[in-house]
Amino acid sequence: MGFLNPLFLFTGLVIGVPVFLHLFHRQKTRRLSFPALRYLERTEREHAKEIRIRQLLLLLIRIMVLLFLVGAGARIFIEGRGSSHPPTAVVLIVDNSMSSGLVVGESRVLDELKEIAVTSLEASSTEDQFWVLRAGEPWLPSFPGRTSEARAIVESTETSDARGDLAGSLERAAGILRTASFKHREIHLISDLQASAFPARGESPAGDIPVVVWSSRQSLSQNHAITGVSVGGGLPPLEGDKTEITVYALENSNDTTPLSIRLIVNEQMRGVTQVPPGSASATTLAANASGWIRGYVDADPDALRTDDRRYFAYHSRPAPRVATTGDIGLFATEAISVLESADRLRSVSPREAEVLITGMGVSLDILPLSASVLVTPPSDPTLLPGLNRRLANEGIPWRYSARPRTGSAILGGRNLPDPLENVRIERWYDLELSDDLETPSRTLAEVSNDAWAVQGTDTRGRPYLLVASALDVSSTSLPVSTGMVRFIDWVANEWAGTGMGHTDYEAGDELSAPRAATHVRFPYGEEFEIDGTRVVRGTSEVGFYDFLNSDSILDVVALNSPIAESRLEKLSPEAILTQIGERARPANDRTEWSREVFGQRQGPELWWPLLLVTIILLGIESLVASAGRVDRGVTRTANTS
Amino acid sequence: MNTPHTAPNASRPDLLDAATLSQLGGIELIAREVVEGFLMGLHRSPHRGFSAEFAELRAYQAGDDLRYIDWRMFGRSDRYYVKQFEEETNLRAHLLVDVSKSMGWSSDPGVLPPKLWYAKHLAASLALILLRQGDSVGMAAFHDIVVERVRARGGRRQWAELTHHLAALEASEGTSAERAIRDLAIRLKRRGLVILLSDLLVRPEETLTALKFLRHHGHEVLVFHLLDPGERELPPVSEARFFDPETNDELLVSIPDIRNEYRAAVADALEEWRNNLRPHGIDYHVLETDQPLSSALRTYLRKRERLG
Repeated sequence: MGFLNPLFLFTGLVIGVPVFLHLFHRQKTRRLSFPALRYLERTEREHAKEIRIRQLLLLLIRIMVLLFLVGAGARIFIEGRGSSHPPTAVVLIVDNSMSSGLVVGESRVLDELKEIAVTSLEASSTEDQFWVLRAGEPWLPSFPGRTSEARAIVESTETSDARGDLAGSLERAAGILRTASFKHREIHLISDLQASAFPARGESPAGDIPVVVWSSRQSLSQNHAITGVSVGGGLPPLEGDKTEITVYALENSNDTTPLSIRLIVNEQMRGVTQVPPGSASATTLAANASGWIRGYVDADPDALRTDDRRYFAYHSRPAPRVATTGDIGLFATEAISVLESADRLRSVSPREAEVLITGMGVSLDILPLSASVLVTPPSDPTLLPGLNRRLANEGIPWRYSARPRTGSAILGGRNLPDPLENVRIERWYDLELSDDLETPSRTLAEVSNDAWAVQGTDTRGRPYLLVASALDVSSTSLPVSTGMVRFIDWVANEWAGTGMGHTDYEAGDELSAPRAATHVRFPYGEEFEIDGTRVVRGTSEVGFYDFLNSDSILDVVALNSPIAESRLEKLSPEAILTQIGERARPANDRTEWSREVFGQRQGPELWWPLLLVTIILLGIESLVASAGRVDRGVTRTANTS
Repeated sequence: MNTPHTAPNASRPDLLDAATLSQLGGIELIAREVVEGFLMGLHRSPHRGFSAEFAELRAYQAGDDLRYIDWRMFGRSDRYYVKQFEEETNLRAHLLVDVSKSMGWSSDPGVLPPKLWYAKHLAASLALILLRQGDSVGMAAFHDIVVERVRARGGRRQWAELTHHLAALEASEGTSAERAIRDLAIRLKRRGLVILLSDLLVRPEETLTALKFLRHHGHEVLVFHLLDPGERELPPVSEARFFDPETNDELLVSIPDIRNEYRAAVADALEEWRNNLRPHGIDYHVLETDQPLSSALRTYLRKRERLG
């Protein structure tokens, strides 16, 4: 038994006050002169027992009436699994990440998930409040609404090409519900429960809020996917050079059939190749003239179509102009020399440079506004204050901490550039973000959970890349690895935007707009003005994002499907409890789902039977109160005759 | 001949309720107006005592009025005979007024006069009628003891004497009616009519015994039980602490719970008085103080007619 409106019980206390006063403060009643007291005494004497019984009965009835009214007002209900429930705040997390586009049978997974969400909404009452979060589009705001509004959002939900972070969505949902002024709160997680959607976290993301989890018995099918495309092995071709396009296919333990891959460049098919699952295959691409090169590799469509295509883009142009200042280390200097001899770059003075590689931040102040800069710290920490001062002068918000850290760790991170893979770091400085400057930045490489390489734009709009270690052998294995030359080439060409476009972005990532860009064109053709944050969000679609200044294309970013979404491994029932928490209530089918949602489901409300009984009691009360009012034949006329 | 149509109460103060009547003036004026109105409304004159019709002769006794000696009979028989008219058969009436503290109570002060007011004006009206009939009227007021007494006499001055004393009566002290009644019974030499005006908030057994004692002495007894309407019906409040102004006893009462029982208890008490008095030839009448005085006067007349 429970109450839908328990606050009304306090009203009962308020109503009880006069009853209490009536029962226990009788001495405060009026004092009246009454000569015929003997008649009253006689009445009391003759009817004492009858009166006492009637008084007790009336008291009992009135207390019952009071209790029933309070019970009705508090909307008492019987515990049980009835059709109604107390007002509940619900966050519906609809997983519309890329994997929800998987076609199973004749329908998409998302269609089934939407139907489950509608089942929740149909079980709701008008007093419930809903928020709808779309796991594949976490940047979308969520507003509270009633059932009809939530239903409209659910029905308009379409598959996003972005990755779904269910743990993040659960945290966000819990945050929303904690601010909701509802006693009863629930999260309805409606997802295909991809294991990759739950990055390892320390604690239950939803906290103590119950989570009803849709856990379909349907297993996810095996998926063929292109997980990567690399142009020139990470060294994009210069104007007039031919190059290699390398295609990577997702591993598939059950099906080793090679994928038939087509190479499309500038809307023309330029090659065909076969790639076995879990392998890579390279195709030669003939030299292209100057300009932006857009292309994609395409496999035969399967049940999950988004990851059957992967986009790339690069700028075919002459070798970039690179300048160096300060002590950048012997190995970096040698790498530049090698690249120059291979016509991958041209050495120039800082005033003419498109890319500056500096060891101490020297010449930052004379660098052209269109240039980019790579900053490497000195191995001697005593030189850091000078470097930090120059960074601050140029509006770069990062600082090197004075005390270097030592250890041994391999670089990692979601956005790790190819040339930095398997690079070991043994000495580095902590990169600290200054609170004074708020310009967007992004971590490209991490060591032991510390940022090792960060990029952003300074206050003048020039892109910068800071690494946390000096490029010497005592700090990192990079100088003596094959990645050194590739890294410098990557910096000069790909990262600086002077050569290849970006290939490591995934749908859903935020994109930093180039300094001169005024608009961005999304893959579906619509253009948006770049706002003051200079960050483009809502990139839910794979394809090419063109940054424009008037009609000029300044940059082209190719966004591809998240690799994690292509791995259709499902979370095991045991892992559901581990990942979501003990308060997770999995439901395997719609009947079970209907039973599990609104866990505070209650039996029928009793307000109307209580009111009915109250009316009956009031009738009885009237009868009891009027008992004895039967005319005993004593009338005024009779007495005066 | 047509008489102008007027509202009955305009020319019949005896039909006015006590509350209205109390606005008219002093006790003499009110009593006179009431009696005049009452007599005017009677179809048949009850003024037997005012008739000068010859009834019989009797032998002269010392003290008889010489004016009534029948000189013809003296001439025939050489004895003195006195003419006896009907008025000579009139009785001696004694008005016994309860002036205990409870008589001074009104359930609606300022609107409804107290029981004592009603008793005093009723006594004055009765006295006027009695005196006009040629009866002798005396009066005694009592609470625990007899506090005021006017000997029974006839004549115009007697009424003035009576009203003077009645007007001065005030309610005080408790009630011990039996003592006053016994005292009066002993003092009254001649048999007559005793009219008791009381709220009878007394000890019933003792009072009943005293009234029977009075009856044994050959007196006709008429009891007017004065009742304030507020004594028959409890006030419209939920709960009250009632106290007796005479004894100061208290009783906490939840009125809605006992309202009906109380009404029945009052009715039972009145019925008991009636049942106890009637077998002994004592007339008993309940008068509520919001009733016109004519009701009581009519009751008296019926009694008087029976007495002859």
